[in-house]
Amino acid sequence: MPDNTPELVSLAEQFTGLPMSDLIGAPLLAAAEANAMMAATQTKSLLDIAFSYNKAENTYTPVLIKMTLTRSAIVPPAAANPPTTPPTTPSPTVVRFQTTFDLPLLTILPLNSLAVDDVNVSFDMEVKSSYSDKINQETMAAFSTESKFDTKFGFGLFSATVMGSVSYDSSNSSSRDTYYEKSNSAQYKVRVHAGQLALPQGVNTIIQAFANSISPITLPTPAP
Amino acid sequence: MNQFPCPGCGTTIHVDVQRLLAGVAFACSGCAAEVALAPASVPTVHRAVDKLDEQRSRDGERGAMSGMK
Repeated sequence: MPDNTPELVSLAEQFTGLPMSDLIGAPLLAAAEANAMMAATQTKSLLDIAFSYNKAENTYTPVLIKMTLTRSAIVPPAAANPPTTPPTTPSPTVVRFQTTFDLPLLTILPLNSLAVDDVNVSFDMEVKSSYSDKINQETMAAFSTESKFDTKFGFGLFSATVMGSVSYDSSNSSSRDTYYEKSNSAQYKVRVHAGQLALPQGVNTIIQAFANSISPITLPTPAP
Repeated sequence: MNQFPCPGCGTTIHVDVQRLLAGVAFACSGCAAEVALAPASVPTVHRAVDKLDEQRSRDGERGAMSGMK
């Protein structure tokens, strides 16, 4: 007897042909592009805020600010004039003095370094197919046909009559339930987290170079 | 916190720009020298900090909008 039942879904066929490189690679590429855009934006704002642009020379010069430096210095005593007898050794004095120095603005600004630091790609796919065939067949047989007969026979003075009836009922019922379901579902989630990261090494190097080239301080000349 | 070397002894001094703008002086742990922002440079630093804050809020709005897509 030919099998007319519908074929179940081939799970292998459902999973082959999925664009896995796009599903996984596309979000990562998008995160890398987002990082590049954020880095470009932050570089531009850094140049706008902490550097002044010289159009004629096409160069950037760091913006310098003035800082005050207050420290104590021991000022050697001036020789006594006229010299005293016996000679006395005057004590040195401690003088608190203030001077200024230039510092690149870049060294004190809390720079932004926003970037994507975590990408989570989750892909769930479910393929379901089910088939069920239910056959319910009942056969009831009962005698319902009715027939009557009577037979009379006699022999001489004796006679007999035989009467009877036969009935026959028959009924057939059958039902068939067929159930077939096919479904597939997929869930695709991409979670991205961005936060403040440490400054890039290049920016740190520039800041360090500027900080190390702070102009020297000038000590006050001792009084004659 | 940002940092730069002390002009006197080279020891690293850690500073906070908001407190510098408020007039706070930071001491060097090496030579006890105090550094502070000169009054003449306060407007320059203020402008730079305002621009940075503006950029941060723009980045935050852009991030919130792209998250809503």
